[in-house]
Amino acid sequence: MEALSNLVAGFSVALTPANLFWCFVGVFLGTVVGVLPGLGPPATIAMLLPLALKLNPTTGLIMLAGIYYGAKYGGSTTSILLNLPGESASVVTCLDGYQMARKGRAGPALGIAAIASFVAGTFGVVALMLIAPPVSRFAVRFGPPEYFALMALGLTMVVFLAGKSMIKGLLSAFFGLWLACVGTDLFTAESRFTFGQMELLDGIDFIVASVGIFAIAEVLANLEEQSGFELFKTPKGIRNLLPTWDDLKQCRFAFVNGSVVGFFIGVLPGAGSTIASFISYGIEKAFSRHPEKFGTGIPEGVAAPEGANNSETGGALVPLLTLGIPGSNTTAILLAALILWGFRPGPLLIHENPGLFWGLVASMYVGNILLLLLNLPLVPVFAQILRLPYYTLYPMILGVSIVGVYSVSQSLFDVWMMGLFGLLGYTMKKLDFPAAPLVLAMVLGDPMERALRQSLMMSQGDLAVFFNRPMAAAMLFFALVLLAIPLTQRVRSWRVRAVEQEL
Amino acid sequence: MKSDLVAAFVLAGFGSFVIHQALQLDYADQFGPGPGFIPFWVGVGLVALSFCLIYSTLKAAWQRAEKAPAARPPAKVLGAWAGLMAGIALLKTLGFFVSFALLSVSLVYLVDRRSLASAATVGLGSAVGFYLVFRLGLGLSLPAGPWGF
Amino acid sequence: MRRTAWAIALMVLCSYAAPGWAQGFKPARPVEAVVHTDPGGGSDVFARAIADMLEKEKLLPQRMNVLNKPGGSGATAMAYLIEKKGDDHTIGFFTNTWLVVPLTRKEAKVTIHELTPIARLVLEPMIAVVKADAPYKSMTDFVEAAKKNPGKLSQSGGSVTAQEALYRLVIQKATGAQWNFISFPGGGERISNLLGGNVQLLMAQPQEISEHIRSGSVRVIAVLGDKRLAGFPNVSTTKEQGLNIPTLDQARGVLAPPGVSREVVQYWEGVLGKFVKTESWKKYLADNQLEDAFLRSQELAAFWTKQTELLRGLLQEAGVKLVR
Repeated sequence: MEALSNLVAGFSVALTPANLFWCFVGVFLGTVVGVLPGLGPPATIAMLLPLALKLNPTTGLIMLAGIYYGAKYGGSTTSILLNLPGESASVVTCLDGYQMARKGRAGPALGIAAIASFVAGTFGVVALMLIAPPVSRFAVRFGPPEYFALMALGLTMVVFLAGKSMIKGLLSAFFGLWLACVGTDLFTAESRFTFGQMELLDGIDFIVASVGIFAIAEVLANLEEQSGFELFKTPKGIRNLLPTWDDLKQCRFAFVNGSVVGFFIGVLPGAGSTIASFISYGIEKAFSRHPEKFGTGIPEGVAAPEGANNSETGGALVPLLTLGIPGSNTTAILLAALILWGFRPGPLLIHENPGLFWGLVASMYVGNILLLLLNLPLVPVFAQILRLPYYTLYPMILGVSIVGVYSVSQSLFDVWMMGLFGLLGYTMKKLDFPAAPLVLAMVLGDPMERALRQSLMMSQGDLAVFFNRPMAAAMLFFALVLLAIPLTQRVRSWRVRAVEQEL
Repeated sequence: MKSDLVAAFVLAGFGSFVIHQALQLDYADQFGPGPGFIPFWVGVGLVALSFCLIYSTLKAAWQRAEKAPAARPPAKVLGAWAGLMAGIALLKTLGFFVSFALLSVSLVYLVDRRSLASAATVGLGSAVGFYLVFRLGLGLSLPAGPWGF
Repeated sequence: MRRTAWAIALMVLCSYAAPGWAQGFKPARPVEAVVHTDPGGGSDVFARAIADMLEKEKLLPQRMNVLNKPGGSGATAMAYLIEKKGDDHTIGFFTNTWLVVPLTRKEAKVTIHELTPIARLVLEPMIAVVKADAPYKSMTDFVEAAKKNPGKLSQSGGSVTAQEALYRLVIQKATGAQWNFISFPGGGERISNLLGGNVQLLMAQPQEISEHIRSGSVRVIAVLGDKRLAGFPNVSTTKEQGLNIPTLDQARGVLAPPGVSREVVQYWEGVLGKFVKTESWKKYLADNQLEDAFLRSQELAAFWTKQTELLRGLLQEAGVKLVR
């Protein structure tokens, strides 16, 4: 019950008018920058750092954290409406979210995204509050072999994303793995596939590739259709503007799945929200009663990844606040801010500054409610964007893509790459190669290779390192089980077909 | 079907290129895989899967002998893409807002065949809107032309 | 936000007013400070802290805006500075990686010697830490243990060209001990793998790990180099422990694009010379356990040359392929 009294004290901090105001500023700005690809929380927090340093530290931290989780809400908007991932974690939301929009269900999709974000975001805060210290011990035990197992588990999701032809899905994944190889090899500092280009030394940025493959390719494909066709069915009536009760009921499992998966992956330094959203989408599909409907625009396909990437925020704050260990760029700059305020982030931070921690936790409950109140009324407004004639819409999509990709690292080279990926994405679409396995492999390839090599360095080349450690072994086993599910389904369908042919 | 065969051959060629490049990196380190390990197997996977694709395509064609329309990207798409790339090429000299306006106008006018008036409205409107939102609102630094924006 | 609009207006005005300054130099518009890391990275945080202090101490008549040019471990930022040739409103924040990258990567088209040195500000010493329940009390204990079990112990760190990798190399060479070096891209993972017992040794900058030392979860076994640190007066140096190795402290400082005039260099030397005497800077150094190591332009150029040669030799021994 100590947590409860602390939380009450925290709310008394979070609900002062000044803190409430800055919390709103943070989540509002977060939503805005979340919409734009490339311009993400780290850059925004960096921009606002001088301002935040002038505020009282708790207030400043409340605002900066608001930007962090607010951006997760905003990221889904353009993914759903324009197939333009506003953030790397929102790539998965494109798969079903955009298809829902094309069916005239943009409103429900945006609504589901907001509600899933709220549910999972709140779950993340509760978990942060209640189990941060034990969970941080779990995170620390997660060594390279466990990371390898986790990434292998993630990569099995390819079979769920492959679409009609497994061969094409795998080809697409292998191409993604190759893209992940481009750049500097961490262990030897050697260049791989950089073609002498300095800009490729750090590899290809994921957001550059995914904006090209999703947004630009979609524009090109839509231009090809006969002019005057109706791209988006216009939503009619107020009932189609928000998710129905049935939609929400369908998403029950997805809310839970997204919350739990997102939080635990968030806790691990270096895993990240993109991986969290892919894995929770894959799990959702693996255990669904109608896996074939994924990718055609169903609410669970939006709820699971959106939930995961919001719950991840709570998870990512665990190592930051309990150990002073940043797991991502955003948490790194929050760490820097804490230091500049004069705090000493580390194992003693919460103990020595309970007001800061509980004020932040309470403000995150408040912030999530503010975000829901901010986002739900905007849903019908955003959905109206699709009423614009396409010829006014697509120049804007191209413009936002260019601005967003350029903001990743102020590099024109990246914008060129985005154009090339656009053509690649269009060609893949024409030839029925699925894009999702490519981006999945691109996200996972690098951490997986790294973890494999780190593990074998640790064990001096002994492969037993993957089986002696219970967590790693369990995840590898789970990966095999997931691989087996579609195989058994396939065998069953072959049998059915064989029986039908005999008849 | 024909397009699948072409894609498969292109990917097989690309896979061989990857293998070739990977062989110039060390396959193994002291204890485990070296920098060339993953690229090598990625290349092998690409080549192997391409042959699977060729095989399954030919088998399907043999069984069904269906005639799929040759997938050739229509001029409109290639034109739009070339326009985009030209727009990107102009970013450095003309700055973002001017090249974006030019890109929008020419896409809507030439590719979408709308009237010049509506093309100009869309192009100028979105460029001005972008300026207000991204430059003045968010204070982003974007490529600038000689006139400072 | 509105400030940007003002800045543009100012910029236009000033471009006409430019011939006005006959002698001396003073920034007439915001100064752009280029760093090679993303927001939140080491160099970025350092530059932002300095920008903040310069503003508080009113040493700069204009704002200093940090511009992130990540990519190629510094290569992109250096190339950008070359493009800005002669621009007297741009500066850059360098680190050791700006010296190393041109040596090892043929994609890097620029060496640091082509840029204009302004001032070195700090040296960051490194310390060696182990988990609190590990048996090693000093670096020599660890070395002895590694000798008894060659290849059984591991150290976490960054890339093979990072300082901690080079320290391992020189200690191994001096003692004949053998242990593994496992690269992790993020500082957080390096620490969490030490805490989780996956590796046994970590070499880090004091401020990265000081809170874990304070909470008692890790123990410092040595200061690398020959000078004890004020923050850990009881920890002996590797030199005192009988390990004869060179000091490879990370240097941080300021440089400018090529082709800027002498006045600009002198102006910055003056500003930074005053800056390193301020209280806020002294407090910052103490908080972050950095070593004040101010050097002016000419001495900095000599330091670059010397350090490059030292690193070249070490990298060669580490088996890294050199391209220059």
